[in-house]
Amino acid sequence: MARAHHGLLFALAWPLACNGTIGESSQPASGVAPSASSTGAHDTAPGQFACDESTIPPQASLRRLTMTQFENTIGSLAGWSLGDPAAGSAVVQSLADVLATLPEDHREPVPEDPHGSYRRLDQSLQQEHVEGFYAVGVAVGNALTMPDRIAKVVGSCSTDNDASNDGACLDGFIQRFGSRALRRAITADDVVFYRSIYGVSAVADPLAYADVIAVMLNTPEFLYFVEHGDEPVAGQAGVFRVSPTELASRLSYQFLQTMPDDTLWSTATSRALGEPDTYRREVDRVFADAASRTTIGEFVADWLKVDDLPAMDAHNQDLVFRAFAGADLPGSDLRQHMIDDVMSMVDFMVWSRHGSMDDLLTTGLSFHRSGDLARIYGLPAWDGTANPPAFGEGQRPGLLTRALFLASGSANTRPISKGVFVRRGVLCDDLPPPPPGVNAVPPELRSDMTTRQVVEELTEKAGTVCVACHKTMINPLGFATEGFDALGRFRTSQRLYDAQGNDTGSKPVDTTSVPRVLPDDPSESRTPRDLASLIVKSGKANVCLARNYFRFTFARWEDVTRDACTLEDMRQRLENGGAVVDMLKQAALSEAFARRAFE
Amino acid sequence: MATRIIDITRRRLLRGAAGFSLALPFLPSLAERTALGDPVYTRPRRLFWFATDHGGAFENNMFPDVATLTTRQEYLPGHTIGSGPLAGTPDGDRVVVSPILSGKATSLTPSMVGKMNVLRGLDCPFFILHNTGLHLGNYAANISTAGDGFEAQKSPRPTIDQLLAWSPSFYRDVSTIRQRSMIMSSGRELSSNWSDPSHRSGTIQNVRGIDSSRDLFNSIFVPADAGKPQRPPIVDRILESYKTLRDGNRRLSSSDKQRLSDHIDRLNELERRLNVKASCGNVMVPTDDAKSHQKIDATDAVTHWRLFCDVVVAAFLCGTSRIAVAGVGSTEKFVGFQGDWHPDVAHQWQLPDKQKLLSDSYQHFFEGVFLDAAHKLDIEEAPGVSYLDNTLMAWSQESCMATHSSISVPIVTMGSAGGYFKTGIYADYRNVVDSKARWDPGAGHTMWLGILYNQWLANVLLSMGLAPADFELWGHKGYGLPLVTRETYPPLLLQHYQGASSSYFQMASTPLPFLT
Repeated sequence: MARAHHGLLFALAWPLACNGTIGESSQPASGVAPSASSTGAHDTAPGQFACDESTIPPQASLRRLTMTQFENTIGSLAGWSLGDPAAGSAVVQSLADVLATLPEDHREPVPEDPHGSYRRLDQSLQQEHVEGFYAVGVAVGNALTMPDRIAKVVGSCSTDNDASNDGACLDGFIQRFGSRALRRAITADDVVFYRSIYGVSAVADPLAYADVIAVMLNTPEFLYFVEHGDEPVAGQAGVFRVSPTELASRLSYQFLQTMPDDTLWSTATSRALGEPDTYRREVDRVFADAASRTTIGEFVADWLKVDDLPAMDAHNQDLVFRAFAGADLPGSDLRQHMIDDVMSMVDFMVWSRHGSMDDLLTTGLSFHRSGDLARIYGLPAWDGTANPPAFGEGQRPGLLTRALFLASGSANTRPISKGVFVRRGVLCDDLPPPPPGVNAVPPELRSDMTTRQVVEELTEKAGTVCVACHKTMINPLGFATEGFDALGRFRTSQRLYDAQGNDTGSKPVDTTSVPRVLPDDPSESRTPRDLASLIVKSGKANVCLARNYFRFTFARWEDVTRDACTLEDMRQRLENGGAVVDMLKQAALSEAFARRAFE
Repeated sequence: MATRIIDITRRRLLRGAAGFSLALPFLPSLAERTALGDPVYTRPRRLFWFATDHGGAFENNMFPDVATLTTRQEYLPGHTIGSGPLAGTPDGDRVVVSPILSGKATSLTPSMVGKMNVLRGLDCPFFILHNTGLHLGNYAANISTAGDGFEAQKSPRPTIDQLLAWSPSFYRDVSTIRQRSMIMSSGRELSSNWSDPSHRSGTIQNVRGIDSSRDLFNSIFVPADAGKPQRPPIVDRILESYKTLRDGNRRLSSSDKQRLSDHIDRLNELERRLNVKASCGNVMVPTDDAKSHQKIDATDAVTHWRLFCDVVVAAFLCGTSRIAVAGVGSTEKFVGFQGDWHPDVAHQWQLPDKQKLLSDSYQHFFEGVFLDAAHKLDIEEAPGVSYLDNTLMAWSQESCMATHSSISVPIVTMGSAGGYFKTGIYADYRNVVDSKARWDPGAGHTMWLGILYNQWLANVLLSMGLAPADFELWGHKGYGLPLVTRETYPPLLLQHYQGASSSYFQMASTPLPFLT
């Protein structure tokens, strides 16, 4: 679904509750100390999270692997059992049709973000999940027991026609394969259970091995993060440290999205992972793996809701859009180029530059790689290896000036959507829902109005229920980037068209606003750089990034009181220009990462 | 036990097959399941629901003329309601029930008008705002982050389609049912259920829709028997692994155990589905897919939903499912609108050019999809009774004329739900004389509050064979949520509905006047 649509679903009009108290959270936020400049009782910025070590985190719930994690684990396990990661990938490729029957992960809507949060928060269990798991398990069982594979997976004892070793062969397989599939030690009861599935075949039976594999891949231990905990945490009733093998799984899935590798697994089974130095070394090692960048990319994509960007070429037949786009009429891949541009920016700034959140909001470097975006930006494309090209001073500072956040897929910009995204996604302020009875006063729209003027007429009209929120919380943040058109091109004036796409003139755009990044701040913003400066100065973006990464890490919404210690730990990493990459890693080093509340 | 086999001839099937994208051969397996002479047999009722976004259509575009309301009766003291026969007015080669409810005379025939109902004056008594949950009764499915909608989010419940899907009162025999419900979606979360549906426990979660008509087809029609399996089934062994963990003595949270129970319930359903008897094995696999028709184009929009509807009709005829929900979503594609529908059209519903777009989009949906599906179902199932007659087709909208508001949400139906509902009726439940019920939403329009949408939902469940005890919750009659706003700005919902124990709520499980 398109971002603009999402935004506008709740953004067209904002009601009575916007009385200047910006930052009011929908959940109690007493753990957040209000800033000196804030009048809001629940203001989150530039506040610190008030850590109280005695607070007990919310009870955990059995997490299911995301579909990305499930597919990765199938590949890793197949590769491990075949002794060749590439062979594991081949198995996954051969199962493409059956894997496609599994539901895709959704950015789960939650009460705090009804427009979709993180794929990791998608913990619903659909019938299609269970049926897909079953089908995949059966298919993997069959694939790994094919004649050319079974000896590698089970051992040569499975094909040596020597019945005398078949029992030991089966037991060994259950122990070896089972411990990696179930991510825990195999017990005597387990052996009995899987032997019973294998049955009483007189000879080594590939079909029976296939059944054993299929069942293992459908067990709760394979599909979920089954955790029983280890030692109780002193002073926190119902809270336990997770066991080394459970911690290994947490760490591996946090950054690699798959089962622990041999090194991590051996430190877990030896319990060495429970030692702080060993754990820190493993965190460093896992975090340095290239797969971590991919995982963080998933976080960034969800945080920035990049998949909400509408198709750029959907309106190519529309006369107005054609006239508006001119020589930049989009191809079908422009949308992806816009996404790649921002994803590359974050990847480069985080991993190569060890940049801060402030850097993301202000950098003048550009990371577009395609000719279409090069034309839109008026800057040659980056080759991906040399230093990225730079925009002129102040021309396009930071994330919010890139096409991904400007383009609408139509001829008109969407100041409301832009404003809503900044308010919620970058500043973590809540917005009240739109009220009933909007549009009681019909708008008086004229064809010679700029987009800003139309929005002001629709939502800032005196006497309407819309004006309170739109005028203070939403529109000003969107107006700040009206110096870019709906394809992301720089402009100082807006060209106007009639319904047939005829040019009817132009009017200057107005980018001046009072964005109220902090509720009482009357500072005016005239340019995108001004807005970025106000956001950086407020410290709210750091708080907001920490909150968002918490959601991704723990696959749940934060409780700013009970999770305050972890949140504050993460926020502090970003303070004073701290590197984002350090915060990303810090989450796995927090106390909460190694604990679980059972009550 | 002697059973009478219904004579479903090829001629009858072909009659329904005009414009049909699937070929259904003669189906003895189908006939066996529809044994009319059996005294135990009750007509198998079906539900086919369509939900569209926004609303915004002027009431005089949506509803028939109030002058056709010829019968009046008291609903509650001081609240008089009206009804009248639905009638189509010829207009050239077209027939008009209302500007939106119109179609070609060859399609919107007197017979079809006679199988239709139009309901007016069904209200949500609080400010639910943008939502996907009102349609089918999970009012918690809204996007509010404060106010009434946020309050409603604290009380989620299954939607009525899912309540039916897992109710033994509705599905007395599931031996042929491949899909308890078919959810078709354009990204809208319309359907909700417990995470453990059999035990009505766990959390309320969205039931995902499918966006491919071909995938829907494949999920319903059982491929030919692959032969006797070489090994014993393993689902029961997987089940065992879950039960062992859940019921063991290792440390787990209560939430963990619930999640394991949820999975166990799904495995039980998998086991059931694996044992469903093959039905309609000769249905031709469709060559086209709704997924391939998503352009912003009126013809493509109709094609998209017709492909889905064809699968639903085939499933109904073959007895492999009896519930379908179509999350049609926003309707701009039905007029090929290229701009931003939500702000530029839906929220400018008062402006004449925007109103025309809204009304045209709904008219095209009605004629191209809803009416078309009704025709495809209107083939004989038993002497004098069609599949449509045994079905309740319903079309609901997210909001009323004034977008963001959900009073007098229009409901259009086809079919009588196996004779439960009288049809051919325009029912108007508004109280048009009480000033407390009046609301002027702007632009010179006047609306009136009526009765609870909860009562409509309860009536749907009653029509499908459920008793009030099967669906009443929280000591509340009807279906939905016992919540009345405390807000005092117009429309004056609190003054009209008075509270969740008022007479309106007490009436919410009773049959709707005029229809039964």
